[in-house]
Amino acid sequence: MKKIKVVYWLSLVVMLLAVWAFVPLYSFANQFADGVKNGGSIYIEVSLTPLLIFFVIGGGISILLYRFNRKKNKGLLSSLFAPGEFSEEDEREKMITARACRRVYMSMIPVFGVMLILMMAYPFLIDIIPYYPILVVFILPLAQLTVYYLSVRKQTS
Amino acid sequence: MKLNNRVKELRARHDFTQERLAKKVGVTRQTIAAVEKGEYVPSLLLALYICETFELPMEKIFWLQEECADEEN
Repeated sequence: MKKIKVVYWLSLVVMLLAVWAFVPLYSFANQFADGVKNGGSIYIEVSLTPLLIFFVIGGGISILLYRFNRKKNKGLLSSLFAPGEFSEEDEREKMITARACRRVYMSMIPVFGVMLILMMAYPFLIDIIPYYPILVVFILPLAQLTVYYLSVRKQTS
Repeated sequence: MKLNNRVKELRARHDFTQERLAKKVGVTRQTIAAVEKGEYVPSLLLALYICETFELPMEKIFWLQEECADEEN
Protein backbone atom coordinates (compact mmCIF):
# COMPACT_ATOMS: atom_id res chain seq x y z
CA MET A 1 0.00 0.00 0.00
CA LYS A 2 2.95 2.31 0.68
CA LYS A 3 4.15 2.38 -2.92
CA ILE A 4 0.74 2.94 -4.49
CA LYS A 5 1.45 6.63 -5.10
CA VAL A 6 4.59 5.81 -7.09
CA VAL A 7 2.84 3.02 -9.00
CA TYR A 8 -0.12 5.30 -9.77
CA TRP A 9 2.08 8.07 -11.22
CA LEU A 10 4.17 5.57 -13.19
CA SER A 11 0.99 3.98 -14.61
CA LEU A 12 -0.30 7.45 -15.46
CA VAL A 13 2.91 8.30 -17.33
CA VAL A 14 2.71 5.02 -19.31
CA MET A 15 -0.94 5.71 -20.12
CA LEU A 16 -0.24 9.27 -21.31
CA LEU A 17 2.69 8.04 -23.41
CA ALA A 18 0.34 5.43 -24.88
CA VAL A 19 -2.12 8.20 -25.83
CA TRP A 20 0.71 10.08 -27.55
CA ALA A 21 1.94 6.90 -29.30
CA PHE A 22 -1.53 5.92 -30.51
CA VAL A 23 -2.13 9.26 -32.24
CA PRO A 24 0.23 8.48 -35.20
CA LEU A 25 -1.07 4.90 -35.24
CA TYR A 26 -4.58 6.25 -35.66
CA SER A 27 -3.34 8.54 -38.41
CA PHE A 28 -1.67 5.51 -40.04
CA ALA A 29 -4.96 3.57 -39.92
CA ASN A 30 -6.83 6.56 -41.40
CA GLN A 31 -4.36 7.02 -44.25
CA PHE A 32 -4.34 3.28 -44.94
CA ALA A 33 -8.16 3.14 -44.97
CA ASP A 34 -8.25 6.15 -47.38
CA GLY A 35 -5.73 4.43 -49.62
CA VAL A 36 -7.74 1.19 -49.69
CA LYS A 37 -11.02 3.04 -50.33
CA ASN A 38 -9.59 5.18 -53.14
CA GLY A 39 -7.62 2.34 -54.73
CA GLY A 40 -4.25 2.72 -56.43
CA SER A 41 -0.97 3.05 -54.58
CA ILE A 42 -1.02 3.65 -50.87
CA TYR A 43 1.26 6.37 -49.50
CA ILE A 44 1.43 6.66 -45.73
CA GLU A 45 3.36 9.23 -43.70
CA VAL A 46 3.53 8.91 -39.93
CA SER A 47 5.90 9.98 -37.19
CA LEU A 48 7.34 7.02 -35.31
CA THR A 49 9.01 9.14 -32.60
CA PRO A 50 6.08 8.95 -30.11
CA LEU A 51 5.89 5.19 -30.60
CA LEU A 52 9.64 4.76 -30.04
CA ILE A 53 9.55 6.95 -26.95
CA PHE A 54 6.54 4.98 -25.68
CA PHE A 55 8.39 1.69 -26.14
CA VAL A 56 11.59 2.95 -24.50
CA ILE A 57 10.10 4.81 -21.50
CA GLY A 58 6.94 2.69 -21.23
CA GLY A 59 9.04 -0.49 -21.53
CA GLY A 60 11.40 0.69 -18.80
CA ILE A 61 8.52 1.55 -16.48
CA SER A 62 6.80 -1.76 -17.25
CA ILE A 63 9.97 -3.70 -16.34
CA LEU A 64 10.15 -1.68 -13.11
CA LEU A 65 6.49 -2.44 -12.31
CA TYR A 66 6.98 -6.13 -13.21
CA ARG A 67 9.96 -6.41 -10.83
CA PHE A 68 7.92 -4.69 -8.12
CA ASN A 69 5.04 -7.09 -8.78
CA ARG A 70 7.37 -10.12 -8.81
CA LYS A 71 8.18 -9.48 -5.15
CA LYS A 72 4.48 -9.53 -4.22
CA ASN A 73 3.23 -12.31 -6.51
CA LYS A 74 4.60 -15.80 -6.73
CA GLY A 75 3.32 -16.79 -10.16
CA LEU A 76 4.64 -15.42 -13.44
CA LEU A 77 1.12 -14.75 -14.77
CA SER A 78 0.03 -12.80 -11.72
CA SER A 79 3.30 -10.83 -11.84
CA LEU A 80 2.63 -9.95 -15.47
CA PHE A 81 -1.07 -9.19 -15.28
CA ALA A 82 -1.90 -8.24 -11.67
CA PRO A 83 -1.95 -4.44 -11.50
CA GLY A 84 0.96 -2.97 -9.58
CA GLU A 85 -1.52 -0.98 -7.52
CA PHE A 86 -2.92 -4.18 -5.98
CA SER A 87 -1.59 -4.87 -2.53
CA GLU A 88 -3.23 -7.77 -0.73
CA GLU A 89 -0.74 -8.80 1.91
CA ASP A 90 -3.39 -9.31 4.60
CA GLU A 91 -7.15 -9.15 5.19
CA ARG A 92 -7.23 -5.36 5.69
CA GLU A 93 -5.40 -4.70 2.44
CA LYS A 94 -7.69 -7.18 0.65
CA MET A 95 -10.67 -5.24 2.01
CA ILE A 96 -9.19 -1.92 0.89
CA THR A 97 -8.54 -3.34 -2.59
CA ALA A 98 -12.05 -4.80 -2.76
CA ARG A 99 -13.63 -1.46 -1.79
CA ALA A 100 -11.49 0.42 -4.31
CA CYS A 101 -12.45 -2.07 -7.05
CA ARG A 102 -16.12 -1.56 -6.13
CA ARG A 103 -15.66 2.22 -6.53
CA VAL A 104 -13.97 1.69 -9.89
CA TYR A 105 -16.84 -0.54 -11.04
CA MET A 106 -19.39 2.02 -9.88
CA SER A 107 -17.56 4.78 -11.73
CA MET A 108 -17.56 2.81 -14.99
CA ILE A 109 -21.08 3.72 -16.15
CA PRO A 110 -20.86 7.49 -15.39
CA VAL A 111 -17.45 7.66 -17.09
CA PHE A 112 -18.85 5.74 -20.06
CA GLY A 113 -21.72 8.24 -20.22
CA VAL A 114 -19.25 11.13 -20.29
CA MET A 115 -17.31 9.36 -23.06
CA LEU A 116 -20.49 8.97 -25.11
CA ILE A 117 -21.35 12.64 -24.68
CA LEU A 118 -17.80 13.65 -25.64
CA MET A 119 -18.02 11.46 -28.75
CA MET A 120 -21.00 13.55 -29.85
CA ALA A 121 -18.57 16.45 -30.32
CA TYR A 122 -16.43 14.45 -32.73
CA PRO A 123 -18.17 15.60 -35.94
CA PHE A 124 -17.43 19.21 -34.94
CA LEU A 125 -13.80 18.50 -34.07
CA ILE A 126 -12.90 16.08 -36.84
CA ASP A 127 -10.91 18.72 -38.76
CA ILE A 128 -9.21 20.29 -35.72
CA ILE A 129 -8.45 17.10 -33.75
CA PRO A 130 -8.72 14.10 -36.11
CA TYR A 131 -7.42 11.76 -33.39
CA TYR A 132 -10.18 12.86 -30.97
CA PRO A 133 -11.61 9.30 -30.54
CA ILE A 134 -8.23 8.12 -29.21
CA LEU A 135 -8.34 10.81 -26.52
CA VAL A 136 -11.91 9.83 -25.59
CA VAL A 137 -11.12 6.09 -25.44
CA PHE A 138 -8.23 6.71 -23.04
CA ILE A 139 -10.52 8.53 -20.60
CA LEU A 140 -11.81 5.18 -19.30
CA PRO A 141 -8.48 3.65 -18.11
CA LEU A 142 -7.28 7.04 -16.85
CA ALA A 143 -10.49 7.50 -14.84
CA GLN A 144 -10.30 3.94 -13.48
CA LEU A 145 -6.67 4.39 -12.39
CA THR A 146 -7.51 7.66 -10.68
CA VAL A 147 -10.66 6.40 -8.92
CA TYR A 148 -8.76 3.36 -7.65
CA TYR A 149 -5.84 5.45 -6.39
CA LEU A 150 -8.06 8.05 -4.70
CA SER A 151 -10.16 5.35 -3.03
CA VAL A 152 -7.09 3.57 -1.61
CA ARG A 153 -5.57 6.88 -0.51
CA LYS A 154 -8.79 7.83 1.28
CA GLN A 155 -8.97 4.50 3.09
CA THR A 156 -5.35 4.48 4.19
CA SER A 157 -4.96 8.11 5.24
CA MET B 1 -22.13 -0.30 18.22
CA LYS B 2 -18.38 0.06 18.28
CA LEU B 3 -15.80 -2.64 18.77
CA ASN B 4 -13.34 -1.70 21.47
CA ASN B 5 -10.14 -3.54 22.23
CA ARG B 6 -7.19 -3.72 24.59
CA VAL B 7 -4.65 -4.74 21.98
CA LYS B 8 -2.39 -1.73 22.54
CA GLU B 9 -2.38 -2.20 26.32
CA LEU B 10 -1.75 -5.96 26.09
CA ARG B 11 0.96 -5.45 23.50
CA ALA B 12 2.76 -3.06 25.84
CA ARG B 13 2.30 -5.46 28.75
CA HIS B 14 3.80 -8.34 26.75
CA ASP B 15 6.54 -6.04 25.43
CA PHE B 16 5.54 -6.62 21.82
CA THR B 17 6.16 -4.15 19.05
CA GLN B 18 3.43 -3.71 16.44
CA GLU B 19 5.78 -5.34 13.94
CA ARG B 20 6.34 -8.40 16.15
CA LEU B 21 2.66 -8.88 16.91
CA ALA B 22 1.85 -8.41 13.22
CA LYS B 23 4.34 -11.10 12.26
CA LYS B 24 2.98 -13.44 14.94
CA VAL B 25 -0.62 -13.15 13.75
CA GLY B 26 0.26 -12.96 10.04
CA VAL B 27 -0.75 -9.42 9.07
CA THR B 28 1.03 -6.14 8.30
CA ARG B 29 2.09 -3.65 10.96
CA GLN B 30 -0.38 -1.14 9.54
CA THR B 31 -3.26 -3.56 10.23
CA ILE B 32 -2.29 -3.87 13.89
CA ALA B 33 -2.10 -0.07 14.12
CA ALA B 34 -5.55 0.22 12.51
CA VAL B 35 -7.01 -2.38 14.92
CA GLU B 36 -5.56 -0.55 17.93
CA LYS B 37 -7.01 2.76 16.80
CA GLY B 38 -10.39 1.11 16.19
CA GLU B 39 -10.25 2.06 12.51
CA TYR B 40 -10.37 -1.55 11.37
CA VAL B 41 -12.59 -4.32 12.72
CA PRO B 42 -10.54 -7.52 12.50
CA SER B 43 -11.95 -10.73 11.11
CA LEU B 44 -12.91 -13.46 13.57
CA LEU B 45 -9.82 -15.40 12.57
CA LEU B 46 -7.45 -12.49 13.20
CA ALA B 47 -9.18 -11.71 16.50
CA LEU B 48 -8.74 -15.37 17.54
CA TYR B 49 -5.06 -15.27 16.60
CA ILE B 50 -4.62 -12.15 18.73
CA CYS B 51 -6.42 -13.86 21.64
CA GLU B 52 -4.19 -16.90 21.23
CA THR B 53 -1.06 -14.72 21.26
CA PHE B 54 -2.06 -13.01 24.50
CA GLU B 55 -3.55 -16.26 25.93
CA LEU B 56 -6.79 -14.52 26.83
CA PRO B 57 -10.43 -15.20 25.95
CA MET B 58 -12.07 -13.04 23.31
CA GLU B 59 -14.21 -11.01 25.75
CA LYS B 60 -11.11 -9.92 27.68
CA ILE B 61 -9.66 -8.27 24.60
CA PHE B 62 -12.60 -7.26 22.44
CA TRP B 63 -15.97 -5.92 23.53
CA LEU B 64 -18.86 -4.02 22.03
CA GLN B 65 -19.70 -0.52 23.15
CA GLU B 66 -22.80 1.51 22.44
CA GLU B 67 -21.93 4.58 20.42
CA CYS B 68 -23.12 7.90 21.87
CA ALA B 69 -25.45 10.04 19.76
CA ASP B 70 -22.84 12.85 19.92
CA GLU B 71 -20.14 10.57 18.51
CA GLU B 72 -22.36 9.56 15.63
CA ASN B 73 -22.87 13.17 14.54
